[in-house]
Amino acid sequence: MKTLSPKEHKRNATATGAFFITATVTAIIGVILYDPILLDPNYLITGVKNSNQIVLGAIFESILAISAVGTALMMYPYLKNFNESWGLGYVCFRMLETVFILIGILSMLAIVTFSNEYVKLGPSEMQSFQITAKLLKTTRDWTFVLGPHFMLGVNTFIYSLIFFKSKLVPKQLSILGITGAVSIFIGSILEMFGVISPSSGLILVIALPIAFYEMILAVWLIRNGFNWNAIINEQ
Amino acid sequence: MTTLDSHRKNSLTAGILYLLTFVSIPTLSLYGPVHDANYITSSASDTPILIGGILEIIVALTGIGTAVALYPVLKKQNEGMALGLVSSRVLEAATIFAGVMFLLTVVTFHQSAASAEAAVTSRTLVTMYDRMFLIGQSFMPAINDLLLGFLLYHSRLVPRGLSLIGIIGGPVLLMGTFSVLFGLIGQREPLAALSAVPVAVFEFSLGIYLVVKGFKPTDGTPSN
Repeated sequence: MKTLSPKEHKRNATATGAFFITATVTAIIGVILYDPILLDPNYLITGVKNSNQIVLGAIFESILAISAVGTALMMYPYLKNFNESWGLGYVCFRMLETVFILIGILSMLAIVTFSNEYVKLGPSEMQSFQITAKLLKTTRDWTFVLGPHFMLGVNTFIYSLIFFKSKLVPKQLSILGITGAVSIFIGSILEMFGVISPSSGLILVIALPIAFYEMILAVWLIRNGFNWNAIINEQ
Repeated sequence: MTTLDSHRKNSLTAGILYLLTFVSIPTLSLYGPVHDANYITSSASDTPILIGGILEIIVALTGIGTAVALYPVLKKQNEGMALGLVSSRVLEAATIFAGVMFLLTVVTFHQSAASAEAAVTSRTLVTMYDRMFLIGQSFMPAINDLLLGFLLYHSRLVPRGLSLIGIIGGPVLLMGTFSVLFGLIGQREPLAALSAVPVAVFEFSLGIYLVVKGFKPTDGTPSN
């Protein structure tokens, strides 16, 4: 790496941690704001009543998408020093994860626009609107399985493995990351085959280790930065 | 690790990943049932489509893998083009993922005992998948192989004859893609498949070559 001062390294680590926290916070706020559509079976009616809230949720999810890529960009110089291909691969995969988040946002915003027209319709036209709305909502559900579950598992596995090998963070922390990644990855495969429902409580338990890991990692990076010896070794 | 070792490792990884990108061939038959107009009201199994989806996801991820594995070597030839290859592989993966999601949505519709009206929506999704396939797995690979063909040809990292197959295969596949887009040939006709043959030969033989022999020593790579 070009000679960065310890202070600059610390600043990079703080930014990485801040992106992780922003991603988690915006993800939670986004899902809560989406509740009228995600939880209510009559979401075309509740969607129009809460349209501003859904749009706000979409904005929070957009910030989530940017923060997720942000974590990858801030980590890239460190991951690349250990292995350039894996570092670049991680950035690419993280971008794929956000592609799903963005498709999900698009579907939710489309439901809002759609519900505005739906409430003006007569009963005869309502059924085809309901089917198309279901299409949009199903798409959004799948983006959630493939993005924040499947791809997050793949991505977290990659960077945690590099952390483990390069000792950029303490080993216990990277092992927690690898465990959380494998857990959410298996969870997403089970969701695909319909073994567990994406809206069940079980998936929350499966996602718990990775959520826990990201928060500890974020706090660790902000307080201590990347392990200085690992940075020196790779120069 | 010496540079020579690391180059061998890069070429071996890229070669294996290139061969892995062929795992999606069974999707042609796995996706047969979903193309049936009555699929949504039929009691056909969804498992082949789910497996096909997972195979396509593997292809999307390994596709990016080939580009990032080659990147450290190719960037010595032309950093912009090497990064361009990585980027266009990401675009390709994004279109593959979007296509898979269309079919997964059809599966969900099928599982929830959909009405005849849902059949129209499902046909739309399958049509969108087919068009997405044309962009993601015909148009984008043609661009990727053109980029890669030029990079390999100029760097002489592999025999030039091999790179030439890619440089020729890219435009051939592009012509095939546009012929389908303009309705000159059907997407599921043999001629459309034929236009993809040179590119497939290029990627497959490149995979074998990289696994067996690795890069040839050039200015970019250290010689023995």
